[in-house]
Amino acid sequence: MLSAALALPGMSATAAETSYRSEAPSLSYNRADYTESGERMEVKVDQLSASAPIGERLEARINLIRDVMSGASPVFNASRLMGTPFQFLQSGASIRDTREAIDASLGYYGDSHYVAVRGGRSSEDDYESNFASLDFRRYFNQKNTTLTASAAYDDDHLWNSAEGDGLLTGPADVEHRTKAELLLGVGQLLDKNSLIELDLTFSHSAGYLSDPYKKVYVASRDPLGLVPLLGSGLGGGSLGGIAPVELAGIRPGLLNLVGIYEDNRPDERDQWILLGRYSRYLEGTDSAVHLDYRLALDEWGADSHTLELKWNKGLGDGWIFSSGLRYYTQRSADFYRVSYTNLPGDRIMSSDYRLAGFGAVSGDLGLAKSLLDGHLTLRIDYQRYEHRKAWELTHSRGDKLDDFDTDLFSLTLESVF
Amino acid sequence: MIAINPNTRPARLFVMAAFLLTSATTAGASTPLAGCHPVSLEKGETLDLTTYRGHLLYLDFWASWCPPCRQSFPFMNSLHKQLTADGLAILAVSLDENPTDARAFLEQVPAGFPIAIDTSGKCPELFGVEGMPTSYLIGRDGSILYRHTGFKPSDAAELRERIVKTLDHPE
Amino acid sequence: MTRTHPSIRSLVLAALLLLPLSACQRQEVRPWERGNLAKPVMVRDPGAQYNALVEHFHASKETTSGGYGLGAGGCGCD
Repeated sequence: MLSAALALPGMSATAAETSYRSEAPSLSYNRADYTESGERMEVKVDQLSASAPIGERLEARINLIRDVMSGASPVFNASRLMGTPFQFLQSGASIRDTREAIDASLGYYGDSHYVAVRGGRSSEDDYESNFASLDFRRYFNQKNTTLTASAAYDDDHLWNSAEGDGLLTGPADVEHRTKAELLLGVGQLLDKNSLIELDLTFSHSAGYLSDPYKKVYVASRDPLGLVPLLGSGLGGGSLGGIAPVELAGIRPGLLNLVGIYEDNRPDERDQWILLGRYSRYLEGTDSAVHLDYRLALDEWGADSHTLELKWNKGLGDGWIFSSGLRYYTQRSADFYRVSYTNLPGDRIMSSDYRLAGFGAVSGDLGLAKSLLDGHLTLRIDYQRYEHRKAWELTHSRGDKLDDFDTDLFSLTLESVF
Repeated sequence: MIAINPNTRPARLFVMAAFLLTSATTAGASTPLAGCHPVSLEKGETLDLTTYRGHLLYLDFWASWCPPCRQSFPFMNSLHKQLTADGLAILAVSLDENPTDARAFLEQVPAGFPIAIDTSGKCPELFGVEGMPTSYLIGRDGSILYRHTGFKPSDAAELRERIVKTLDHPE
Repeated sequence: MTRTHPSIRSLVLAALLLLPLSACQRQEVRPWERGNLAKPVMVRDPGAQYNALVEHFHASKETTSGGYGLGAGGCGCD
């Protein structure tokens, strides 16, 4: 994937796990369409999932996913004569990428515990990831209390596959990175209508953590132009102090003069995530509220807060309506800059909008209908996501030129035999 | 040993207390039966579980929201068909808070045996239910012979064997 | 370049303090009282595939990803 996602589903909860095993095999198909504003990205997704009980206590699951992405992606930010940021997008039909992933799991349902092992692989034109995870749950107090421990490992290879002499090109070396995650959680029933959960995750990423396509723009304000402006792999030049002109249509040769550098992040990243969840059934209304708060503390300084509220309501006759509201805010990474006015000593630089400071609000609407005595369920879901620099809770670096909106439409068919 | 003069008031009270205590302990095993009054789902009448004396009673606690309960019904149907003639009585008590939920479940999972409901939660409390479903084998004298928590298809064989054995060797 | 975040200590402390709180003997929910907790609306994300999609999408647009483990709560069934 061009805008390389650093996160992979090694530890995502793919199913609402309950303490009993489903006694019938199931098959689900999902089709989703995702579009980003400003002619950025469009993704079409197809998913197929199957599960089956084996023997008395085992359950096997398999998931297949394919998404096809097209559109544009921001490469780097530059600044106009007066210093206002300007974003350069590489657009065109050359950006089309297909991601295919498969993962399988085997779970064991004991009387007072649950163990599952999961593994998978995801591959794209320029990215390959292998992941495995182990989940363990133990119930206490007649399942009033649940303890969870999970471990996951991701091993990825990525490289720059852009051809030609456009701005996206870079050295085509195959880079490597790993991520190890550990989760400890506790769940507790509060009363017959509510429950809470607390999860603590530690993750350690190492290796090549940069984006092989993204670039940073360095324009020196030093009139004497003594700051060396050597761009790695893009040739040299030391005409510092020259204010840049608009960059659209400029060939790589000229760009060397103003210093286009590669995205270069530290080779290690530790993160701590604390998640609190609360669910409550509202008696007499056939509805329930779910409240989540997630705090993330990051070694790179890109701390975040997530607050999410969901409300599910039964409408009778097998209809369920679901709605959600989510607020996310992150602070920019310490080394992030919209664009650089000098070259950092350690050359650690990134202008990737995903490391910038911003806030995001999203709203979800969903409708599900159960048919054929529960053997078939149809779901339709929609999410609107809006990313705004102005909605950041903290005050850090970033620019509204990175603002965007997305629409996600999803249709799911679930069958239980 | 202190000699008790039965004619004194404290002595009479003592004897009365001792009698009550001993009768309570012998009746202790069937106290859950005496205190549990489920309501017949079909007829709406309150049931007296002590009327099952003389039969071997398979008492099952279930609920519409309990997935393993769904699997136990075919087993109980086969017990009902095969062993009623030999003196087995079955009563499946729903612990749903709402009878509508129990009825909806029965529409999907038919039962040929008697169904009752206890919405108060008193019965499972008295019987000391620790999981769903839980079934009890209650002897002809009203004493609890066996308790089985949970249900998996492989439990059927073992349970049936135990019931047949008890039916063949009346106490 | 490993830098211990100053708030990590307080974060871990908070988590450790809250853990025993949740395990302490409160009014226990009996196995037969789990009816409401087992209702479909109590499943936070009823569409597993849709939810996986949304989590992946958020992870690709935001710097923080994951932290979500498996769900909590038991139905009291054995």
